[in-house]
Amino acid sequence: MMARIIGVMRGNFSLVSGTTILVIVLSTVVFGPLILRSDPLSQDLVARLRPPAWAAGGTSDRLLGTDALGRDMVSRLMYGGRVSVALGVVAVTSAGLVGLAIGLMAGYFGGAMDDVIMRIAEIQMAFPLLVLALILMAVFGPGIVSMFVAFTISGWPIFAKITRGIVLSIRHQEFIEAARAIGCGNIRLIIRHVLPNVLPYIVILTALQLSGMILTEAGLSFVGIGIQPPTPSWGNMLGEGRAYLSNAWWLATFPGIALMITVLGANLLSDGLQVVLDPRARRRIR
Amino acid sequence: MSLYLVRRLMQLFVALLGMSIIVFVAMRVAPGDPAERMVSPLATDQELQQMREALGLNKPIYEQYATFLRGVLHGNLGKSLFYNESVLTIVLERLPATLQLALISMTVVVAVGIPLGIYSATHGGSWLDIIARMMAYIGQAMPSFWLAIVLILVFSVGLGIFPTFGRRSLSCFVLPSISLILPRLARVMRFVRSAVLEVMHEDYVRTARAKGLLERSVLYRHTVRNALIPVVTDTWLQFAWLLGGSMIVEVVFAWPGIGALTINAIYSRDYPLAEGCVMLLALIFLLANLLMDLSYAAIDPRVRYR
Amino acid sequence: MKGKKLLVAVALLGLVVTVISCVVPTPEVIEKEVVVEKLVVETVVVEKEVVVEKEVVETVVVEKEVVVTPTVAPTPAAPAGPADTLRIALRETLLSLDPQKEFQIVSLGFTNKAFADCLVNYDDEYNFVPGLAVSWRTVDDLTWEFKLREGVKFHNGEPFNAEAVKHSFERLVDPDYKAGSAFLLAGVESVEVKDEYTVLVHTKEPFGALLPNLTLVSIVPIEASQRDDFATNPVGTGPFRFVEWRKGERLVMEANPEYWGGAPKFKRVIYYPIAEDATRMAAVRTGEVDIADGVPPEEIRSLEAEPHLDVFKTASNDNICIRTYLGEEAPWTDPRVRKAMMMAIDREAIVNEILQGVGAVARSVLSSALPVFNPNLEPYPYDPGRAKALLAEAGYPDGFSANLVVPSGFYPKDAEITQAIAAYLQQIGVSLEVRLMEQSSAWPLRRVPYDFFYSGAAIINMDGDMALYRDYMPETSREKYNNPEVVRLLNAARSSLDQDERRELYRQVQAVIWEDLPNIAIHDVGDVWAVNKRVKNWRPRPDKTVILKDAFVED
Repeated sequence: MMARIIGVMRGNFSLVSGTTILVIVLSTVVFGPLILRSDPLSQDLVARLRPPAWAAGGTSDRLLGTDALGRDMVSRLMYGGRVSVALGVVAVTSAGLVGLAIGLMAGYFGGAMDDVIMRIAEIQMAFPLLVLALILMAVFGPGIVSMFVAFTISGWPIFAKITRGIVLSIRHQEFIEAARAIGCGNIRLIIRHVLPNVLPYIVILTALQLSGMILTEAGLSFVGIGIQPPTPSWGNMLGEGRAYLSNAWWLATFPGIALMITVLGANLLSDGLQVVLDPRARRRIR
Repeated sequence: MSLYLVRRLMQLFVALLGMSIIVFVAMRVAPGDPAERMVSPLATDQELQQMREALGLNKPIYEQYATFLRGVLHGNLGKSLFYNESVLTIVLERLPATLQLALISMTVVVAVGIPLGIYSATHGGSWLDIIARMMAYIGQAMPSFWLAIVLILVFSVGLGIFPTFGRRSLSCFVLPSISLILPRLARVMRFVRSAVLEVMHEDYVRTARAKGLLERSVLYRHTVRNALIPVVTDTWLQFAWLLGGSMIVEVVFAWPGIGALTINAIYSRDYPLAEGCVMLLALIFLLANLLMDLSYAAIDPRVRYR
Repeated sequence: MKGKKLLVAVALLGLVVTVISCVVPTPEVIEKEVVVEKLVVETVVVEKEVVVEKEVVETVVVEKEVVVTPTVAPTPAAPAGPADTLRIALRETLLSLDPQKEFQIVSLGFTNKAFADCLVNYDDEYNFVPGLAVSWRTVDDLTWEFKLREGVKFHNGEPFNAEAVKHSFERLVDPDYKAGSAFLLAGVESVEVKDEYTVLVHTKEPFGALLPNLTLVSIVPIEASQRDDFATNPVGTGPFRFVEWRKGERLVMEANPEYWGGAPKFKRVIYYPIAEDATRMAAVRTGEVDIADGVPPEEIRSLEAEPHLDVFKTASNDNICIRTYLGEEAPWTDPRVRKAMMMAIDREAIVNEILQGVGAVARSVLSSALPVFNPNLEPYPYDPGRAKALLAEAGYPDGFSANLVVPSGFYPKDAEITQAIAAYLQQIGVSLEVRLMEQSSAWPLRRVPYDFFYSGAAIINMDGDMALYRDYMPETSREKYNNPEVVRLLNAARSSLDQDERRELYRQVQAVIWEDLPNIAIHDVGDVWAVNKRVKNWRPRPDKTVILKDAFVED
């Protein structure tokens, strides 16, 4: 098993670097707060908007500066990272799985099912997230559930669309016809023959959508669902930092960099996974 | 094909109708209403009720919808409650700004992204590939407001090259476009790269198996077309989304487009205007998707529509 | 090999990103805490700076010296704007140009005053001066007589006369017209045309607030105001005529050379709505606009350092309180609890640190800029010890929990201030959950039972009746506040026609309210504007009106 994993990793730089970056990010946000024991919530109004330690006016105990209420940026970044990374992964996974399943069905079975599903997807894409968020808040109240539903509902259409497009183009290829000819059932066919062709693109899309999800969270918390202050998340730190970009750049820039690094890792990982998952590449390896 | 087209257009009509009901109900389910915004903050509950009455908000919802529908059938989308002007006029007034920005941005994204994606696949590991990929990944994760404001601070305030806001001259287009282009470059590059890699693998395999020339070019063509589908899907969807207006870029640059109009209409609960904007957005998406589906058939002849 | 290249590229790009962030003009603010006998002297030599050395001898005093060194040279010299055009950027987006319809500040204070006039105006000391009415008197308790200015024409040529006044008044209160400011004339029974230039206003009861309200009632022409497009094609008697309006993009006005108050000294005014603070400030820095409102407190110093800009601060008529709902049994129905909360919040720190000194600690439930402000109220000190004791005395030694609804983005730094308030209250055991909500979702919550609501009140007509009547009379108070003494005083003030007497009565009302403290007053709102030095003779006003007619542009 280990040998197999190492074999996959060898020579696949994207996979290795992507995984490394993500492991670093995850360890930082998971273990960092335990090591540092600093409080992301304690305010110090006199010490607000302190620049990072290396800039004039910064202090060494606040390495990345303080935010608009004097709270330590380092601990907020780490605690916020826990929230945002978890959120991003869960959101993109749930939207991705739902979209993938729906797209597979729509593309494979075609006909009326395809039409109805796709029209629903298109309407969903056109529907403003803001209105959706407001309704969810009215129905489910503020909090995580509403946010989770918002992400899934707004996120599935693009996964479905991409999946369905690919399925449409391979539906009539020889190997599918062949498999059907030998009596392969639909579900089995989808899973064993259609899915592998779709997965590389789903993996790419997942990495691409990840940052969008984390950023969307900021928009949602503005409406009142999602992570509410004073709990930090990269999304709401970015939102708070927006007003200070021209005079206290570190408020928005550090969460932005954290986000960029995470997404970079995710994208590299997906680049690497793509090679692994590509059925043609696999055939080549074998 | 023409039967398919007719079917799709009928579906478009039904979908729009469905959307009109959904957004109509959604706006009224959402907390708050326009009356609350139209009366002064000092208004008494009685005055608020009077305003609600005057706006027709107390009528049962199906009655309100019926009025709306009747209007639509006469080509009238209603009057904005706050601007007191025809919704259609307001929307058409703001549409060109968004369209222009969307077209310019997407053209550059495609013109730059496709060559870069191809290069990235064929020269994987080279300097240009790595730098391009890094910039693309970073650009993709960059929060749009961050990029927009930093562009303003660096290029408008710092260097004085471009204007800070509005759509007052040609140079006003540059910074908003860049804000829209950079995050999207990564997507096109990734999908194109993926497509080319698939083609290349096929190529490699076939060369290794040393098949006949005719079969190779036939397979090659199929693979290319096959691989184009995800690229076209994602890119076209991004374009359709831009046509609806990027709210953040429009607000930061005070760009007079549809995105800002829609979001403000929703915030102020200007029901007719918000509904009109969302309907327009739905129309754009449905049409864009229709065109996209048609293009699938053109690109890859094996995509057949029953 | 690939790996190394990748890492180098990543590092390079990380560097680029960080460098870009640093290139962003940032005033370096070096704050030093100087405590007791400690002398801190720091001289930082850069191009433009002010170095202040302070020696502190007192005990337990924390002095801050602030050295401002712009890290980037001031914005490159912007091309001077056209000499006869004034460009103004405001935060709020205009919804309607109809001078009677909107209750938005940008309408009431800016476009209404540009296109139209009122019968009565305020001077700088908030005394009434003639507008379109040259004189007025009370005939009896229920009747006012206004003598109108003669020879004034509307922009479209229609004559200004008593008929126009009567029409304007009736239009404002017409329910079909749906004006948000209709309540301004709620006390008026009817308007009678006595002769071409004399109007009689009959009130339902003695209405002392008539004159202040009339400073906001625009007079519109009969014919033009009945057209469908009046909201996009306004006509009035004002100093500026309408030229063009592209919604959300720009509004263009030109000077009215026949204005009865003297023609404005420049030809055109262009108003741009720029909602994003950073962009609006950037626009005034580069010289693309001449006047910008809503300067964020942290930008003040760097804007002042720009050689071509002035920064003007003014007190305003807005005052922020935490409204408490008194209609249901709750810990805060006990006035001791409210006072405890008041004393647990360090409002001084909030104003000095979060608002950077813009505005002031609230010393009443209305702004100190209002003429009826009572300056003699005993301030509540910041005293968490006393607060906790008071809370225990009221029966809540362990505190309680509640939630605070905040309409997001409406008031300056609301997210930060409310979070700071929550932290302060946590110290005395009160667990406040801050619920920041989108505005349209938040406002309706004030009309149903709530715990606490964060809101202000911009008293546009600077009058005590608008500031106090509706909020503190039991029939209309959303807080369900009920104090018979206050009721008596407010009614007396409303029906008194003597402005001095009214002022005195309103001061008494404030004294009673301050003792009851139904609303926990936090801070007065200050307004900060950035103005290009080429604009002369203009200052922002506490009543939030933007009067441009006396300004002029000189390069």
